Amino acid sequence: MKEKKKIDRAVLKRIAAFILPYKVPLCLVMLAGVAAALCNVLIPDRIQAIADRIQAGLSGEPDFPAITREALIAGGIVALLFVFSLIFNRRMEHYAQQIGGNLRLALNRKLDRIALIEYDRVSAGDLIARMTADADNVATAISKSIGPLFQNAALFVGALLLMFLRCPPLALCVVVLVFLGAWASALAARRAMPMQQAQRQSLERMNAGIDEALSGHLVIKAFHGEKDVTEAFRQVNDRYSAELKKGQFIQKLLNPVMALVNNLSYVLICLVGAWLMFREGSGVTIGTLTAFILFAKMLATPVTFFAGIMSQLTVSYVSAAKIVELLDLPEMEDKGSALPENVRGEVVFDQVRFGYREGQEIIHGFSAKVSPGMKVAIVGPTGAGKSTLVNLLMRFYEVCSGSIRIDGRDIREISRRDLHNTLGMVLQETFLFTGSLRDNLRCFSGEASEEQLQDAVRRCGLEYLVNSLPDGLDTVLSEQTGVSGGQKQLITIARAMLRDPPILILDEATSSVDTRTEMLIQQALDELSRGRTSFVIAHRLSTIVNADLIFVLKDGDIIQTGTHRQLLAEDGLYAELYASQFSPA
Amino acid sequence: MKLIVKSMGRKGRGLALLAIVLIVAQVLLETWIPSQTSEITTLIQTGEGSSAAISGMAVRMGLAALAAFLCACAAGYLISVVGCESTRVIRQALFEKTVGFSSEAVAAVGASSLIVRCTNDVTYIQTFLQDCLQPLAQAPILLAAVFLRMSFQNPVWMWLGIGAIVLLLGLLAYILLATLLLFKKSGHVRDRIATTTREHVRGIRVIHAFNAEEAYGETYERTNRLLTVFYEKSRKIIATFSPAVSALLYGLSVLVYVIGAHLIAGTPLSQRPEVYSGMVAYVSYIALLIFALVNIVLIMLYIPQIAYAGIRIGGVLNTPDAIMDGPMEEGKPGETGSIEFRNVSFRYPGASENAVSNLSFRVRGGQTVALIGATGCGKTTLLNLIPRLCDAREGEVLVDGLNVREYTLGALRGRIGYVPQTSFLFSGTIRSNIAYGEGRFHATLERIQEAARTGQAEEFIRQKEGQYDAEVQTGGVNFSGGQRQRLAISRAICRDPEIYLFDDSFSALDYKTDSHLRKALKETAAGATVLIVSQRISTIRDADMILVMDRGTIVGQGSHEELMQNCAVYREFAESQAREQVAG
Repeated sequence: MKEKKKIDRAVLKRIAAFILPYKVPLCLVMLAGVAAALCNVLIPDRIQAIADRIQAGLSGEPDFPAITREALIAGGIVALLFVFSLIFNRRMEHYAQQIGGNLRLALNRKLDRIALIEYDRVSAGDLIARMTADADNVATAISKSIGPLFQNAALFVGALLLMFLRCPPLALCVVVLVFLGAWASALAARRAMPMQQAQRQSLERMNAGIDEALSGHLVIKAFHGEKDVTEAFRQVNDRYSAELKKGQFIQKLLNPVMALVNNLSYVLICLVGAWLMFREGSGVTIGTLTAFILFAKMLATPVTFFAGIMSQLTVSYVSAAKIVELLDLPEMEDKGSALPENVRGEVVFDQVRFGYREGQEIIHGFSAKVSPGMKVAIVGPTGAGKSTLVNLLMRFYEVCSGSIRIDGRDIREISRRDLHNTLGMVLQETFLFTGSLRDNLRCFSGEASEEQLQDAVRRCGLEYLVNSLPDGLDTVLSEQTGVSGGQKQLITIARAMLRDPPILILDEATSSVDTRTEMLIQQALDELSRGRTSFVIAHRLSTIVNADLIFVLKDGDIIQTGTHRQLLAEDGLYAELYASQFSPA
Repeated sequence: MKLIVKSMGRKGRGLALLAIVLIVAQVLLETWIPSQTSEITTLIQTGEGSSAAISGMAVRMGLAALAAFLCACAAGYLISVVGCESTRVIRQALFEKTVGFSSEAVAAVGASSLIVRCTNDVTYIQTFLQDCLQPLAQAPILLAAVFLRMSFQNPVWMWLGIGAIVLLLGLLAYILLATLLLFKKSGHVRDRIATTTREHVRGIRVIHAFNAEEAYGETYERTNRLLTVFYEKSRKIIATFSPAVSALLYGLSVLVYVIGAHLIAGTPLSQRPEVYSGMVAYVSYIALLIFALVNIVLIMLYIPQIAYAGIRIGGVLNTPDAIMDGPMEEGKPGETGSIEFRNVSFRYPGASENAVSNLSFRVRGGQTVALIGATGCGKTTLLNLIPRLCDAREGEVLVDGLNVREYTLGALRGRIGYVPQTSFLFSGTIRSNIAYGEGRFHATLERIQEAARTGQAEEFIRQKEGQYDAEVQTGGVNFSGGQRQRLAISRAICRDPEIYLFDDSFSALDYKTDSHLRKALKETAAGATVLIVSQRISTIRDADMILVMDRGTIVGQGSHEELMQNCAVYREFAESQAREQVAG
């Protein structure tokens, strides 16, 4: 066991926290399992008792009342076995699935608390795998590996005890054989373990490839990259398959080994049994032999279980560790308190510094003061850090140093709920959820009235879309419904409009909308932003010429500040950007 | 099932057959051993056996056990070879089929459902082949062998055996049916949970910005509850089986002894030992039956799941290829770079109206054509028809003077440089992303660098660690929107296509970068045809031709001046832009 992976107790502790709420019912269920095991052990013995009675009556009249009595006892135990094992199996599944469901729920809640910066580091496919397959693996481990632990132990001890009580020499033979088999199969399982890990990695690589091929489907087609992706996939697929072939054969030795043990114990029982029978006074009868054959089979169940449990649990442990890793991702802080009712909308950036990674600063000491009601435009070349500023204001990312204040309060001291209620934003990236258009507009909150909804639809020029959809506002949007990029943007704008926030952030809100529609929306947005502080990021400088203040950003620094006229007069980057926009290329 | 057999190939089927033969041998040997036991017991009972005779028998039995073991090992090896091979084939076929799907077909099934089919569903089949093929082949053979070896001295024994089997088969049928129904009714819940999670991850910013955490969490909770109930129900049905089986067979043993006692009482003394040992053998065969049936229980766990997975995989594999290759590699001479639409209409599957109707226009090689129109009027659809990302329902699309359907897809798409609305990057390096796909030329490093220079990506690539070998994560999450777009543009430039299709591809670029880019493009790609969807007046203005679209049709085509004169829709656009300029 050189390569034995260290089991992190913290992982077990975290998972145990999900199991503990069910500890009382789970113990009861396990008790039922033990009871079932005891019945299971007793049955061959009781059946043997009947056989012995019959044998005793072979040369005379069988003792029918005794036989009936024994049969009733045996039948009763069989009934008990049925009831107990039914309770055990069904309740075990019940609790295991409840625990699995709770795990998924906890993971889902966690998604809302993970610091957003972490999302840039993990793939969606990986997260989904953790929330589905891995959660399922843990639930299966509970019902199939941990749950039956005591049951199998009871079966093992019970069968062993009865065997030694009946005939120690025969018992010894069976035990030696069964343990030899267990040792051999444990050896195989151990050799298979590193192979399983390699397999899992290959499988993950392969699934990531599938995920990517579907996300980038359009590009693959347009660039005729089918052969490339297929070839790349063939390589991982072949490799996985080869690894699987190797690993599986060893894993699959378990069954034949146990069958061999079973058959050899048959032979041994007969041989040793016959020899013992020839010796007078050993008390061994044919009944003993048949009972031992059953015992040997019975002993094989827990031994196979314990031999396989290590490799089973290893798989589940890897899943558990992945789940815990997700559960332990750094969370967003939310220690702030509520904002007062009437937000004036003063925003101050004070020496803000930020970088996605340590040592790679993107915003270098940004400072600015925005008075309530101002329309502020942020312009600059691609990659100047405009969207980053918005992300900082929304607290999607935390500033590395310096602070951002709204009405004099550091945003870190405002609860996220209140902060987000104060800031209405339209993001550069549009996103629709599977659900009705109505739900998408309300963004799942039922606050907006029907009239407000209709009004927003009208003002954002969404009427055409609503009319063309089969069920209007109640049409379920999904990948299949053809909503264009521009329409998605309109939906996003309507979403923000419905929230009626004191501060507005428009990050390239109309970049994919045609100019005619944009004029309409612009009017609506202008109306909306009257008397509110608003931040506008736009490449189309025409939308910002009437801004009260324009920040020109380059490489994370403000290099110019002023109104449109002032900046044009300055003959700097702004004038250059402006000129490039209106001169034919 | 058919799917699996088909995927094995001829060699695989041969190996599978060999495996079955080995399993038959193994089962016959294994069932022969207990039959010897009863002979030994009779020998001992009657006192005829000597210890030499008995040990001789024991040696034979031991040899038989060893032979059975070897058979089982060989069969196991063959089965794992066949199983791995056929899942590999299924997986590859599924992947190739999916990659070959048209965008409509992907949309019709849903990308996340396709992912589940290619991953989870194939894994179910694989697990089935791994864990169940051997017991599945073994169990019926074992059952039959046990039945053949049982000597039914008394018709009661036979009827009892048949009764037990019928009961078990009934139980099996119930479990299968119940589980299949359950899967049919709510198997899609698993897809739904994946979709919900996927959206949650991708839309996390929107969820935060709109404080929709709780509301979206409730949606998840509902689906999760359904999923938990589904899992619980499906596993509980199966959990009933093994207690029922052991109760039935133990009960049967008790019954056999009780009936046996009465039978023995009714037979003459001399024949009693024979009846007795027959009864004992019968009971031990019943124990063997338990063994065989417990194996079947294990398989039962998988059958509904793999049947469902098989149906879903089959559904993908049996989708007819919507877009077929044509035979041609080259277009008509002298028509290089030309594009023509003749009365083209297209409708998305399931939609009630055409997305675009009666499109007709002609572009000569080397021309720059701008597409303008309101949001959602069908500009993207028009572009997608050219590289056959979707196929026209009516009418013809011609490239280089030939209908696009007549080209091989490679020849057609090799001519085209397409930059989609949302830029997607593949995991790999900057270099692999720019050199992506099969074009007309092999992409050398100089070519890649030149493309990046033209695409205005060189500056930021220089700043990256490793430059052209800098890592790109899936979807390009480690690049900003503008950077992604410039890489996507460089990717199109790198293939030096005859035809460029830009679908609003400059939206994340500032005007300065935009104008630099177009200037550079004019130099490197002189002579190429350019179709460009844009909202920016400066782009549209100096195009050779402007197409104005409104609600899926072309309502005007011509130069800026012509359209100003005779196209009301265009005038409105131009005026809205002019006002902006005046405002400046």
